[in-house]
Amino acid sequence: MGGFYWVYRQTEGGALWPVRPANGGMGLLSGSGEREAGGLSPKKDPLYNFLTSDYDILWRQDLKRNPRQEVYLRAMKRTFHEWFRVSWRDTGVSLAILLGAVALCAVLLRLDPSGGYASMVFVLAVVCIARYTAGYLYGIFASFVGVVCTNYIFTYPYWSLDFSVAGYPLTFLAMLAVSIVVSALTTQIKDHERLRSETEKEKLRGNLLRAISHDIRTPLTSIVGSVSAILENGDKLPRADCRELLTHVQEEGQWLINMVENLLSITRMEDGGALLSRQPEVLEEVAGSAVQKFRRRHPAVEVSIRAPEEIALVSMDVTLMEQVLMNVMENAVIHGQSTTAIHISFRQERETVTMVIADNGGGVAQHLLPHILQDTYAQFQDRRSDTRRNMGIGLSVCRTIIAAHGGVIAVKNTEQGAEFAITLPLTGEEETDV
Amino acid sequence: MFKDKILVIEDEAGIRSLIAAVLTANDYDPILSVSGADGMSMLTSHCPDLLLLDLGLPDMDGMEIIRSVREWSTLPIVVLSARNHERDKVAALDAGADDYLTKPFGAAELLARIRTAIRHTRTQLPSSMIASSGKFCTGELVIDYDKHCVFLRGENARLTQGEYRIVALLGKYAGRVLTYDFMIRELWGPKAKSDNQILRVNMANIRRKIEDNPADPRYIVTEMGVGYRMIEGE
Repeated sequence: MGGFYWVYRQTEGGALWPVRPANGGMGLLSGSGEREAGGLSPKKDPLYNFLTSDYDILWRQDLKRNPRQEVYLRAMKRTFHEWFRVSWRDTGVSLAILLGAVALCAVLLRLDPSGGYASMVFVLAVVCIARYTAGYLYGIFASFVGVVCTNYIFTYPYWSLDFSVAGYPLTFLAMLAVSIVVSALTTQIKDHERLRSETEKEKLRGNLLRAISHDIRTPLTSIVGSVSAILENGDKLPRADCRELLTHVQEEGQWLINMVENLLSITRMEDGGALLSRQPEVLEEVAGSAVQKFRRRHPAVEVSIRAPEEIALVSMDVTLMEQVLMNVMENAVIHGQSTTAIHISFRQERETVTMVIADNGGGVAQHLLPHILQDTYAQFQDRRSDTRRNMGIGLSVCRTIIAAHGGVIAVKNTEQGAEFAITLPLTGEEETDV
Repeated sequence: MFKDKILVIEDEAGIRSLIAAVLTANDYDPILSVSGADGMSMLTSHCPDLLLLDLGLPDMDGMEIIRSVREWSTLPIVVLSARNHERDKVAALDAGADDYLTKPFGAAELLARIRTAIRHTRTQLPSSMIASSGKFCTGELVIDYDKHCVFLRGENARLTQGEYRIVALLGKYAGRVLTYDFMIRELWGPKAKSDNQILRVNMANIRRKIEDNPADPRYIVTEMGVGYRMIEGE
């Protein structure tokens, strides 16, 4: 197959930087290898734009797992590639469906030796193949195979190819035409559907991006303002004021870090959680580690945690689970207003474990209760301008993360304050003797 | 007075000047370097007491620097890395780095890690303590290497053989973070499959025996996604 190789180096921001072409392939872009030292930005680099606008990345290999990994890409002109994509999976699917059709016809042949249904069965097989494979290639290929099979096995003369019998040329041409048209139509409908769901997703993502940019601007403005006030008035500013401004800068900075950590978690959750690295972990250990981290950030809040009697093993992505606990505790401090203490306890059932995070703050406002654990995207979609800053992204991220772990998060108000309950499925404990 | 020299290899100017400010204010002598190649040549010309290394350098893989330093020196190395890069941290520690810091970090955290790392190479505290008395003590916890026992407030904590070996290993390297893979290799040999679950469950059991609150450990802290660390002895 055509196409070409190109080596890109990925920087920490996720951008791809061209380094050198490897293994000419079609030779389309060879001769541009001097970019190594150039340090062109991907946005300004015509090669990069060219690659991502008209070409599809067919294959990519990440050489090293580090922030500056090298990436081998193999790209190919988009339309051609999409229509006539060859893959092992699709080949397998097509062969299986065709063999199924042959088997079905063979069974039917026992019941009714006339063989008139064979063409219909194969058209049906072609529809199925077009539905379950990518591009046009397999549908068209199956159409031909169907015609040949029908003629060869299931019509007189049996076990020989003969299109010259009276009426056959027209019948088989019609069958071929119907098969090809049906397969093309099926592929097109499928593509349209995919395009629509992608546009929908893009729209949601756009909303999220807008809302987040808006949220981020406010603390940044205050940080830049405070710092320039200190820089410009340096000596004239009383020490106490200076300190207050700096404390404010620190708080806003911390808020921004939380925000960014949540965004990172969201990106890890995309693609249905395919990027999660799950492992059986002891729940109390993860919770304990989150608590110690939280204490460093909020020394004024008293956090207590009581370990369960039994060890609870849960399959999870630790970074994300820690994020959940941090978010819930941060929420208790920021939105519970008067929170001075948080208590974490565990409750173990036969197949699940529930982690209860209770605070002694003001609780969650009644009208917000049903909304604070909404889906991230949904929340940003119907968000009104009067919503408070930071309301929710943390908690909705929690919901998404817990859902990806097959668990449930719930919230209720108690006499003391708010109480979050996170229920997760246990994993079976294996042999643990040393 | 003689100041400890610290070589900082970091490409981001903001973080570099932040580190330099914190170090200067706390009586260290920072030497700044913007790239891996530059840092490598400074390393040989200045002979620093500690290397503070950012893993995400533009010109060189931080891992290469660690490996080449470890070929000829036991110079303490503390690596800086971003959250979500647990694998990089573990790889750096396994390649010979002494400790790590996750960005963004606070000044107090930075100084604490530097102090520990420098003290470690100077005194080899836990091993000298173990060698002279056969014991490792921290807080109310005593690991008796001769009797193969762990005592909490003078009472035998009744660890099993396997649990004792885990605590003994952590005590030998007290103050340092030990990666899961390192511990598994040390405890069960190089051919053991790197299954962390056994280690986790053992640790939960150990904590039930030696910690007052197993979910809020005092002696053996969890470094999430990386490993465990026994707090330093006294």
